[in-house]
Amino acid sequence: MSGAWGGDADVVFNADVMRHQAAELDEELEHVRFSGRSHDGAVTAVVSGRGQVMDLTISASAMRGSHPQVVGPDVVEAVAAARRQASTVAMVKMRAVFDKDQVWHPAPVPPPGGHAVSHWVAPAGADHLQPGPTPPDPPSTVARPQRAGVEEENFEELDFLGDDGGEDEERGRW
Amino acid sequence: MTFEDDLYHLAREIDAATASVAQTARDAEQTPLHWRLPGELGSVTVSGAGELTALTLDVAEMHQYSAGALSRTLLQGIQHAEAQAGQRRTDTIAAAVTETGPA
Repeated sequence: MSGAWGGDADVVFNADVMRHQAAELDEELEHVRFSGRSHDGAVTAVVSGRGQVMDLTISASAMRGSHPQVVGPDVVEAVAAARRQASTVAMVKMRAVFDKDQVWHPAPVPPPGGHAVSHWVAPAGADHLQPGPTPPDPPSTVARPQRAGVEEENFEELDFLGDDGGEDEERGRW
Repeated sequence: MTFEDDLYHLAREIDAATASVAQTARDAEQTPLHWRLPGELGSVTVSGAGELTALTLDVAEMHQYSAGALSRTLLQGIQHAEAQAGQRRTDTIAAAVTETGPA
């Protein structure tokens, strides 16, 4: 599947990797469990990482209490709480799979020790990839102000105290 | 008709079909589904997207159940209702896709 861009093989490879990771994540989410409770603790719900309700536990005290009619809303509350947890975790994991685009946008990998890399090396054969972002600058150049484009004035030959009149004196400000 | 005209009209047809299917999906998600629990125990309401939104129970009927039995009955009711809503949504979208697809 080589096309005019010449990078299709890499794109297909990347899509395959992403698809594989997505399938793994899907399986992981199917097996992981999240629980949520109603505010009064009377009902506990368990959902899978996909949000499917897997278990429900209603306490006997809730049924014997003076307001057993709250069991219904408690169930809804417990299921919603469990799903919120599942959703939060699943979203983070999904971003980790789908947001990284290893071929098109290689990110600098910090070496062991946590320091940022100071230079970027294109991977072998990267010249035929689709246009990507420019290599990241070293951290020092990012933090340093860009002075090249700033118009600077040399004050060495300027006489601040000279009695040469000027616009302000003509306007009577002194 | 030029090749560019053909492409333009094809793109417009695809846009219209996509918009139609998206609208169908939105409509399906906004239509709740009610599921009656066994006997007169109550009902489960789920959104068109298949998410539990309400659960009403008859208190007198509820006392016929132990806590464990009630938990299992409600769990099954919720699972059935959500599955039904999800299936209905899938079927509705599939029908819309078939309608808007190529002849």
